[in-house]
Amino acid sequence: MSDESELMPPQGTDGDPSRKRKRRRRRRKRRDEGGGPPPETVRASAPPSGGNKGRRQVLEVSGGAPAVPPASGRNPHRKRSSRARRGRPGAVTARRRRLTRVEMEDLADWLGALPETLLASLYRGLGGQPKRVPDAERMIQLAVRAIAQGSRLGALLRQLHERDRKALAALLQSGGVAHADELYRTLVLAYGGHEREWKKSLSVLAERGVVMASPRQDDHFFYIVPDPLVDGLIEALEDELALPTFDHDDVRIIEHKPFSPPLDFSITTLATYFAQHNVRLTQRHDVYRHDKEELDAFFSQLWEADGELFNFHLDFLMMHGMVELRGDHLSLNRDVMEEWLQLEPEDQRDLIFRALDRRFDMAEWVLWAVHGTQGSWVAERPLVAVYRHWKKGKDWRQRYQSGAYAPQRSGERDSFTFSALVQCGLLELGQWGQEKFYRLTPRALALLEPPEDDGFRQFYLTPDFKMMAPAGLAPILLYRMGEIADLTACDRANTFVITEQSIEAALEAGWKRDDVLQFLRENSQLGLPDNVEQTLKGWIGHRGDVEFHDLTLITVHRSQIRRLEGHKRLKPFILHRFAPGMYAVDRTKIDEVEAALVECGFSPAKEVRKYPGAAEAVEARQNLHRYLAEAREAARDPMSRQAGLVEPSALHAVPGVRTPSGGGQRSEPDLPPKLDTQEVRALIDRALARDELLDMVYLAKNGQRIGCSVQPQRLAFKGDSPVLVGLDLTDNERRTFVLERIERLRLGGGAP
Amino acid sequence: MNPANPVIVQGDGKVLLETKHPLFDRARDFLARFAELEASPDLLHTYKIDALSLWNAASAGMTLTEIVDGLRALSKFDIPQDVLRRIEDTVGRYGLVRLERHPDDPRQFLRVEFETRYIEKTVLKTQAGSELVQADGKRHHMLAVGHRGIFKQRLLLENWPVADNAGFVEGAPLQLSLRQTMRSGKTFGLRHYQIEAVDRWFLGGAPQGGHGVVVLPCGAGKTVVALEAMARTKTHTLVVCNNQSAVTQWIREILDKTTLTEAQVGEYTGQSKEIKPVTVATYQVLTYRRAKNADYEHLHLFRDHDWGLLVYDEVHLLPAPVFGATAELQGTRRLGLTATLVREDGREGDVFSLVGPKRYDLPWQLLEDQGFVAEAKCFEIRVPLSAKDRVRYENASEMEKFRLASENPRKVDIVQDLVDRHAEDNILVIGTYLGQLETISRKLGAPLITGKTPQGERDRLFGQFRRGELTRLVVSKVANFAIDLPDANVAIQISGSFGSRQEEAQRLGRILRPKERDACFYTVVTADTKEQQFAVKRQLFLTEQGYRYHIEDRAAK
Repeated sequence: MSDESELMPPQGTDGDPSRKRKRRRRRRKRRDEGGGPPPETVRASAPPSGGNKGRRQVLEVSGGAPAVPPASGRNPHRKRSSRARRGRPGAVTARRRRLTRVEMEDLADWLGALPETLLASLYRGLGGQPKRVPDAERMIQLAVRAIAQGSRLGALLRQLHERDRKALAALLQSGGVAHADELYRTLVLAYGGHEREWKKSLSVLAERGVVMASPRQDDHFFYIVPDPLVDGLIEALEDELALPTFDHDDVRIIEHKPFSPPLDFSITTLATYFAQHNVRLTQRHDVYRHDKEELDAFFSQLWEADGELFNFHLDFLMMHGMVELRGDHLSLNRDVMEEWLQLEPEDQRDLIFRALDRRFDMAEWVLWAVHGTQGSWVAERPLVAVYRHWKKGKDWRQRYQSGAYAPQRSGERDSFTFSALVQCGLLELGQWGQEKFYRLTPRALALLEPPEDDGFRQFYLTPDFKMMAPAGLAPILLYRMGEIADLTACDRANTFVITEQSIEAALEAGWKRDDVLQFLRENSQLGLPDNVEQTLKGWIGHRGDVEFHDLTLITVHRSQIRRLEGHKRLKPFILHRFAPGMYAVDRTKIDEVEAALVECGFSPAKEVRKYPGAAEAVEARQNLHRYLAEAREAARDPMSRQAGLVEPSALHAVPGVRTPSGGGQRSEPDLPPKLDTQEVRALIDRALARDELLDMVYLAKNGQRIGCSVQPQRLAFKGDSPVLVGLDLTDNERRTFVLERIERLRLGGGAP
Repeated sequence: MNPANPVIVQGDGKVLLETKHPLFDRARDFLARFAELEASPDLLHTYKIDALSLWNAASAGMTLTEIVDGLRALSKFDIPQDVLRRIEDTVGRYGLVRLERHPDDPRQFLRVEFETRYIEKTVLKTQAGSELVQADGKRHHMLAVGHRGIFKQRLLLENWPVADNAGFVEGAPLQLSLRQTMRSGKTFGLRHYQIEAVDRWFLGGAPQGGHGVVVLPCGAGKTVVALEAMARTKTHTLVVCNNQSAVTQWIREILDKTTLTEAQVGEYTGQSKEIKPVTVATYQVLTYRRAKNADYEHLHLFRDHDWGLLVYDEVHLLPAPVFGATAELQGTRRLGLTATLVREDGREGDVFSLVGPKRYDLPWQLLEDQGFVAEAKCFEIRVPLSAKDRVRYENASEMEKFRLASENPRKVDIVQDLVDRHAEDNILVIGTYLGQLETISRKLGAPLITGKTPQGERDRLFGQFRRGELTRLVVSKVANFAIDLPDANVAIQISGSFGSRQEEAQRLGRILRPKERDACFYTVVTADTKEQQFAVKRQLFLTEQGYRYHIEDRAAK
């Protein structure tokens, strides 16, 4: 038998074409669902705990979608449209396809570094016969090919006993590293049985080469799943890793809350409340009773008095500095709030998840795990088992890294409760018999998978000056509404009322008349009612149409604009860019700016230009303007009023009238000499070496000949054509000139 | 959650309805049955679900399931739990206590029925129950006929709305019917909604019907609804309305549109004290007394005649003593008419328990769409003060400022401008301050009607205006209520009472009678003064009602 044939899977298992088809369909379906391939899966394999055996036949228990392993530190579920900071879902797709050549080479290197015995057991586990392979190199080659095929691992696992697969699943949920003795106990807690049985299971796995061990210390060691196998194993153990789901009409929902708006909506609403109300704190940093009662009444539709949800919102705002204690009251830090609102939705969610994680470790992962069940209930026990594996895995990894091999008994039987997430309105708690179940609330669903368009993109503005913002409106829009109107009710639709006072406050906060009107016009479902517009115009008047700015203006010669704007050292000093070459800097930092400019090779003028200049000069200028006005007045000659109406170029000779021939020939313009490409290249080299300008006539793409003066920067290639990259001083723009199209060229003197 | 739906139910029982939604008509008709329309601005209508509106719905036969399922089907978000609970509790309460005809002694007593023993115990423990209800044998309870109103009124305060199925006395019979052709010669017929309103009120003569309130906008023909109610009941009728002009108007309408003759219709006012089969009285005369502690001299009118029907015009203005008299007349059929059931004194509950539940309500937009009321446009014209007046204004006390702004002399020119602009229209100039009105009257050459104008003179002038002999009329506050000037299509308001909503609605109501030309309602205010601040309140009210409001700033020009 050839080496390859040895590795063929047994018929009727992985080679079953119908299974292959199914798998292909599944992959295709996942790809179609928005590029989100199935997550790396670590699934709870605990059985559904129905409780009442007599009614078991009426239960609908099914395997849900996989829970995401926290070990990877990546979350493939999270949609990240614009950045790749934390691993896009595409990363998982990569694992599903056949390995690339580079990956296969890496895998070969990894296997090459493996002790030969382990390599042999892995090779055997994959269906090979180590003794029939001539050398290790060939074995590595074949093992790599088998792992890359993917189906071989599946075949391997299918041959295992259910208990062995469960043990492997638990090990994977722990992140692929587990302390041996503690793992046995954890498995007993999760699935029952005896420690020795689980030890045997892990031995079986080790024989197959899918589980290996760390070095021993005082008879203690860690089980380790080889990293290159993890992805394949996760895929193959899909059923074992799935959280069991549960559906029954009689599940009683405890403290059902029908209204759970997205968290960013409620956070922004609370921030707006703090901006508009004076909420005081006692010396013990509790909200004053009176203020708390008002606050609770106001937000009664969102949370109960003294509820965890309110605390979470407040903590979130305070932890990120959006709300801070000023004197004895809470005050909104508008700058930070603004910054938060300007963040990408993904970043906003990251911060929310971070805050959640601080209240409940690995909260996000729990939510994703429950999310995988597609709206069905998840029993508490399997969820706790998965969570325990995650928690233990975290601990084991740390201990493995730090070399702490001694077993620890504390915390093994920790009972985890998800009540913090229930109180935060992210999980819904149900009860059926004695068993507790969890599922996601709409709030959590919106957090995990924000709908691209939930139908709430604009608010309602009515002619009676009320604005209604339905829950789900973008936070930034909601916040802006709070800047120009009083928030009067928080409910399914937040109510705002525009008053003269609120407009006054908005103007003080920097809103301009046109901004207010435009904001309302653009974001209101039916535009801006006529009476509201007129009344607002009346309230605002023309206030703020002209503004004073306290700053120092610096101007830069046009040839230096790009240099200045691109300079990292100078950038922090530029507060505002009015136009290219005209910037605002802090007038208290003129000395620093000047020093930085000198340091960067600029030569700032010694004198600060003042407006107005000397008093005499001012007077003289005024006089001049007066004379000019008089002169203009005097120049209003009736005879000259028609001047300028007809362009001279549009005039023609009167027919039949002979016109005298023009005198003297027009002089030729002073053009650079014509050069061939080699000469052009030589001249450019010279200009670059001497830092000189070049005058050229360039044949543009459209056939037009352009004369320009260029400050050469470098030579480069565009395709196969050599090009000159330089600053066109005529337009002060960086341009690329194809050498072949430069018709005339000469040196134009030193660069400025 | 279904964002595509048109309704948002808020936690406080408010319901927001998108008016541009394709399901708007269906949703509006549905909501109108159990919720009060609070505001109807252009884009978003606001309804309020409260106990009274739910009891009104329950009394009209609407069930809890109907309400909840309907709301769920139309709502964007889930219905708040507390709102559902409140609806369930409230609707379920209606009819748990019932008044029925006493089988043995119907002239003296009414039987009180309770849904369960528990409710019986609870109600009998209340003050009203313990004081008014008597045992009727071992198993039943009864109530003296005279306590019928007060019992219902007091139990409502305890959140026990009573279903009154005890029926009514028939009153002295009166043969009358509506004319096909009016005395004026024009053909006459009831509009569909007027028939519907009377049907809902009368309920085919069943004991559950025959009492209640019909809500229709100004100009929609509430008087005609009352005439049809009279024609159905065919009994002696007492109509109570707001002022002398309204009395005249009622009598004119009755004679014009029914087969009754002058001999059968009487007037009971300060000027005349006739009691005839159909008598029209004013609230003022009924509540007249010589001294603060003296008795009401004319309240006996309710009792002294065998009335079979009481009609309360502008029921939202029903004064407290009339409530008292009404409480004693629960055996008589009652019809309340109003354009808005909202009372400034918050006694909507008394209207519900003593006059009856709301039987019919129709939004004005619907009538406007169908051409039954005129399409009205509201304009606010802002006029600056002259430099001299501005100085006076700035130096005046806070109390004087409003008046100074209201009497801004520059308004006169604006009124002249507007009158010129509407040269072909019938114009009412309405104001509060007599001096100002006199000036304008002189300037326009139009007659002035104030409180001092004798009734005969008023009637003559109103008559001339109706006949088109006069096209401009300057009126003071006397014309705020119940004056039917069908041809008026332009109203210019030059001063008002600190932005009173009721006054605004009534003044606007003067021009809402349907006509060929558009109705225009101008309010002239002085810019940058207290008057403009009050005008914002008026603006809010009118826009809440759904009228288009335009602002013309003459100060800016």
